[in-house]
Amino acid sequence: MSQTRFGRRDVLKGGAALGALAATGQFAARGAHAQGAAGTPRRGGTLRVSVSQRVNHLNPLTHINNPEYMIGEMMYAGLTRLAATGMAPEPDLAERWEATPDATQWTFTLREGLTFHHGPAVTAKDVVATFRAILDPATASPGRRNVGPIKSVTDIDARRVRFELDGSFADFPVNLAYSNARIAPAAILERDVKALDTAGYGAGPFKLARYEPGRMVRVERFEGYYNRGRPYLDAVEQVLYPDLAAETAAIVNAETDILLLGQPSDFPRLSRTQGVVAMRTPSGRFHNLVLRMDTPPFNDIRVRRALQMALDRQACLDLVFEGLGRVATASPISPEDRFHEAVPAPRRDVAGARRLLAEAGHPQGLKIALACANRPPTRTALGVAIKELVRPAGFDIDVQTIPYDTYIANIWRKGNFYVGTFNMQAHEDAMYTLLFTSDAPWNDAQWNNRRFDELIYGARRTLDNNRRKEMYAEAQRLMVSEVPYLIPFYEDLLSFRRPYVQGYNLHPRGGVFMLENVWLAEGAPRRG
Amino acid sequence: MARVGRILLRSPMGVIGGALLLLCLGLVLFGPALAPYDPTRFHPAERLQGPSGAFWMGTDQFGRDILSRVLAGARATILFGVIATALGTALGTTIGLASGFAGGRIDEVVMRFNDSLLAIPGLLKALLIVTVLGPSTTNAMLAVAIATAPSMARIARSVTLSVRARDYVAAAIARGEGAAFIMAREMLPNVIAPVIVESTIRVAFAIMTGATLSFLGMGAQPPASDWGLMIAEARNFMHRNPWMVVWPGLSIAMVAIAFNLFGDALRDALNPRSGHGR
Amino acid sequence: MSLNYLLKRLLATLLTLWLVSLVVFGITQVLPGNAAQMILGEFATPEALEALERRLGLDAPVWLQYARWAGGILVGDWGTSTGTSLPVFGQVVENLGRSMVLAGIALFVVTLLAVPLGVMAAVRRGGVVDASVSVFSYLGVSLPEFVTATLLVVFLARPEIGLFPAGGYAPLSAGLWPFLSHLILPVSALTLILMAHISRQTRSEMVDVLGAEFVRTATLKGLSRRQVLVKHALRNAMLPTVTVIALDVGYLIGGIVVVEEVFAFPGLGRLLLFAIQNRDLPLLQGAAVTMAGVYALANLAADLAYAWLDRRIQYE
Repeated sequence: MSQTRFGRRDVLKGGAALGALAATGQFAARGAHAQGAAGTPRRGGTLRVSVSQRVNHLNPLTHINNPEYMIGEMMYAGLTRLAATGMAPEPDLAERWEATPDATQWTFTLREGLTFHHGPAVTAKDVVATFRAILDPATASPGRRNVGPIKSVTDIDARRVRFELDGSFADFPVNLAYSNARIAPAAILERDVKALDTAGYGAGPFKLARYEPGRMVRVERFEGYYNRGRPYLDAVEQVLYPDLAAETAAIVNAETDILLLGQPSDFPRLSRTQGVVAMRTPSGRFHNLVLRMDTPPFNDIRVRRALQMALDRQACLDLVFEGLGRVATASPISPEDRFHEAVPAPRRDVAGARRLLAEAGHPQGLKIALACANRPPTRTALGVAIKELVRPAGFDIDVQTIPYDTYIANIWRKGNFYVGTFNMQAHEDAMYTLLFTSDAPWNDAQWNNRRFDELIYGARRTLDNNRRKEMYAEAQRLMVSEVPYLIPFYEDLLSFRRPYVQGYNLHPRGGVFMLENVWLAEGAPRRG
Repeated sequence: MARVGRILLRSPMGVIGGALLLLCLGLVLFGPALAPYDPTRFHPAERLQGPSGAFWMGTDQFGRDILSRVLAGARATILFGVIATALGTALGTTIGLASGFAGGRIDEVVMRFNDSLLAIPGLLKALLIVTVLGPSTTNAMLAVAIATAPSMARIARSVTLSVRARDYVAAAIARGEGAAFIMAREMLPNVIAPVIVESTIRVAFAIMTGATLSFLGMGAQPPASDWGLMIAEARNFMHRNPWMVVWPGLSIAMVAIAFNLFGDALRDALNPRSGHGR
Repeated sequence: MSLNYLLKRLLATLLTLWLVSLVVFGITQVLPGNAAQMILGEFATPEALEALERRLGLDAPVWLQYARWAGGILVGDWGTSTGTSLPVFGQVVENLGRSMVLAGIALFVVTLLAVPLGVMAAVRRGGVVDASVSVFSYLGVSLPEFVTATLLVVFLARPEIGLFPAGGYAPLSAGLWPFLSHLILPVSALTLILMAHISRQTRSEMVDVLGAEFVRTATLKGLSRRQVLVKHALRNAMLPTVTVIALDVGYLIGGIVVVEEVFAFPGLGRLLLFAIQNRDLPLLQGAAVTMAGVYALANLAADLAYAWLDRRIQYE
């Protein structure tokens, strides 16, 4: 069987010609510069990271928010992971992988001598058990679809695993880097899954030292980690600050070393604060207005287009996000994505929007309520900004701020007009099959477009990158013209660190932190 | 009434309070009309600016004119205080009257319960009620009204008890008049004066509590130009434009001072012996 | 002070606390939204939700939930916070302790400043001190705590100046200055408001007392003004002032919620707001009952102190 082989380290470094299947080198995000840390890395020290959302449990298969992803990434390892600065897959527990030319069958080979924190060796059986658990609906893993179109997974021998896919899929190694696809021991998964909630059984760079739910998680260096010399840090503490003001105060007062997820309104101020380094990197993360297409008024494409034409995107970006981002179209695919197509956004045309609205049967304008959850506060800010910016076109938007729990219970995936927010995904397929195809789990705009579905599933099975690019380009144009979402801008990811924190980079994906590369330079406070 | 007016005019407190109240009335009636700009209009090029010729109080994070927003918020804020207090007073007076009139066991139980409500600090009470009702201006108003009611009930009841023993009430009962009639015709007029004095001072409390609820995100919601909400929204930007906090803050203080001064003066005028406020 | 009176007041306080617990529990029962949903977040599955609801006991009848909760309150088992997964009792006690430090220092500073100011204003009525006290107190009473506190942050805690931390808390174990520097601004905010109350109250009590029969008699007897002031007037004026200070604890509780929010101070007030925002019912119940309890106890203390100080008072 002739096999195309790729995924070696030298390939990822060099980006050599990889044949049809492997244009992975192009994944590297343009904006993320791996800032060379000053001096040589030092070992030792405890890093304290603040987060604003709670870690609900330690089971990586069902993690759902960024602080949980951070913990999962430290305690567990996957078969692959994303490169430190982009969306290219690099070896993690798997040292190499091969695919059949049609990319329907993939074989991953584990490194030699891998062990879990609690002692046993990592074997192909553990990988099989992990993926079976993820694919089992009873596990309720959010990654069930994101790990790719897996038909079956079997172990060939102790170190090799074979995946059969439902059709060709060239980006499969990227999907395996998904935050939920972390390898856990088969013994635990099959006998006592609950144990994963409160204890650690991973093979990642750090092992669990202390878990105080709702307060902090402490992990310490795992000496048996496969990547020799890493991590640099002795320990990492992730501390929960339930509100932003306290979290901000903590980094200003040097009680914490990194504020993981920053807010735009704080950015200008903290940039000028002594002892705090403000970091930002372009990303495809966005806030969106969901225009639900199976109910009035947005079942009429003229209303959706009128809203799109009326919007001043730059003003939105400046007013809501302090200009920390780039204007977008209706498409969730940002310039950081590999197959991004620069579809020109419609020019702002208030008179035209008003005409369209009148044609759609609203000559007196359209009154409609926009639901904005109260967290994060940028949702309401965006609502207020849009209300005012589209008013001249005849839209009379009533901004309704509602508690987050009410939003989750009554609005999300149910309402016809509300503000959502999403992380960037690792590639186009992940984004589209999560939010937009007819069978997507969170298909909240109810677009249900046959042509679009064909394009997405067609592109997934296509191995020719030029052809795929064309298909994804058409999908993006389709979105801009059909407007299931209104996406005013792509946001920069923001974070803050103390000056002595080195080797910490913002990854555009949003849920990838790579703290094994972080080290503490001179001036770091001693922490227990 | 004329005597009360004369006494009010003689006290500096009454004069200043009255003048400030007139100013408030003016703001309620004409405030929005005086605004130089639409209070919701953005001036994106002039965000977060200090006072200038074009924007007398500066601009907020959306480049909205703070002066226009303060003026637009005056009506909402002042009416909030007045209506919430009126509602709470009506509710409390009714309960106090009825309880005092009924007397006996009923009075005992009602007042016990009333006292335990009084034993919850005002803001805590309002917060809990809004938590149940959900955050909005109307609900905040109801919460403040409900929070106000117990103390008004206390006052109304104590007056009722003293009146109840009087001859004309006894006569009315003897005549076989209905309870509602007696309460409304014979007792209410006696209760009204002390209740009104108390409620004038309570308006300041209502305005401040309402603003506090908005500040905590439990009252008015964006894009309303509510003063408490304006300060809450300003918190993320206050180090870049402190005026966003200063102006609405001063406005709240001004209105609260007006009602406090006037209420104290009114109390002194009606009851010269009690020389102190609260 | 008769034992009878003491018992009566104690009983009334207990009854109040019981009614408060009913009210607080009742309120949390009719809350919209679902604690289980709140814990699991937007991507929870229905099965997980159901399981958690069962674990939290949200499926039991209301009276049983109250009985469990109230019984637990009595034995120190206040339930587990759904937002933080920590025992409510420990959290409430820890945060109450910090709030007490804040409130205690504020009350101390206020008494030290406000009582002498009030006395001075009363003694020289119409003087400069009197005028400033009344102007200041009207301002103080009319500025909501969140305005005062926010203005303090704006002007004294600018990050460029770095004079005081804009918020947070440092335990005493972190050093004396870090501990104090985190307290100065919140204490100032609370002090400014309470000052207004207490100086005004002291002044008016003092004015009443100075006009009273026995003071005039003392003056006629030829006692020096100083003696009259200290021995007779001040002592009598202290009675109501003590009551006012105790009653102001209720005011302080409202103030502390706001001040802790503005300064991100991890006290009881913040805990309450956190509980409200996160629909954390056990925590909300615990924090609210504690606040009401502190207020009721302060009232009781005020009554008892008053009765103890003034034996002449007739009870009922």
